[in-house]
Amino acid sequence: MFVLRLLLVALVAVVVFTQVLMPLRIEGRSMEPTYDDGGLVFCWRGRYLFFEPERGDVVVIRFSGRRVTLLKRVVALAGDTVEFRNGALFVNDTWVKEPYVRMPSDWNMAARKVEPGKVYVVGDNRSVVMDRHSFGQVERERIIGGVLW
Amino acid sequence: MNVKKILIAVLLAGVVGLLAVRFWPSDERAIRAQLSLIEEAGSKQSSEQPVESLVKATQMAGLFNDPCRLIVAAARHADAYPRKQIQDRIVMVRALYSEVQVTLHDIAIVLAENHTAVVRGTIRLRGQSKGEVIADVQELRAEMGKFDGTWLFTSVEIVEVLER
Repeated sequence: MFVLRLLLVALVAVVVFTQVLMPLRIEGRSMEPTYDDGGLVFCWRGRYLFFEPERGDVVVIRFSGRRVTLLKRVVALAGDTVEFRNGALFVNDTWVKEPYVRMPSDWNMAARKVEPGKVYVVGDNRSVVMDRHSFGQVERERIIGGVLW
Repeated sequence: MNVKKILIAVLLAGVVGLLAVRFWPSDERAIRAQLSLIEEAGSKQSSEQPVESLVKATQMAGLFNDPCRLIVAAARHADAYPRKQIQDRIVMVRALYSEVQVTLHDIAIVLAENHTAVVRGTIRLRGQSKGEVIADVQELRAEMGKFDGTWLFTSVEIVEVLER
């Protein structure tokens, strides 16, 4: 009976931590200071089952599978225009206050429109050179969940 | 024959079956072996000697058909390159790193009937260049063909996941 219970607990743990709450180890500094290099977060896979990502959400983006993912913040939705002026983010030509960006930035990027079925994501650490920071519009279907906290 | 013996026989048959499935030669296994070579030959330790670098670059270039089509979606670039040029490029890129670890993840292989296959996966580079930590992740979509029993890349595309 004990072995059976143990097996059941193990099975539930495997299902929960592979399908519902995926543990993710952060590698890299693109989301600092919100999430530090080496930190651990959980991807809540049910987050966008019934709701769409909103501006300000931190989302988990998959590549070809779920073993390697990106952690980014949604700053604009489909149909919005995105622009950076001297480090300041403008969405639909309106300055967006971003309290989570604490490091100085000098990014400049001409306005571009987010395509249908996509959202625009950026990391919180804009102090790195723009060319070395992965950001841009991503297909909605690549978002596999949001961070738990 | 008692129940215990039958159980052991069933278990043994199961283990043999699993081993057969695991180690039986197949096209998918052959493709995975080629992909492992990318990880092995792509990775570099700080103690690597120039001759070893050249051998590894030759091994990697040997995975590509001559010519092979390379597509970089983010740069809107697509062209066919001869194997020699690919090898030179591999030597050049590896030389940029003092050490690098190449790993492949989430590999999906779809085999077609005419000795071709489509491979999707995520390639990850972690290393050091000029004392600076370098990390890069890209999604790959590759087409492979079987030539004289060997699977070679006929086309490799770096998929644009985030489009600025």
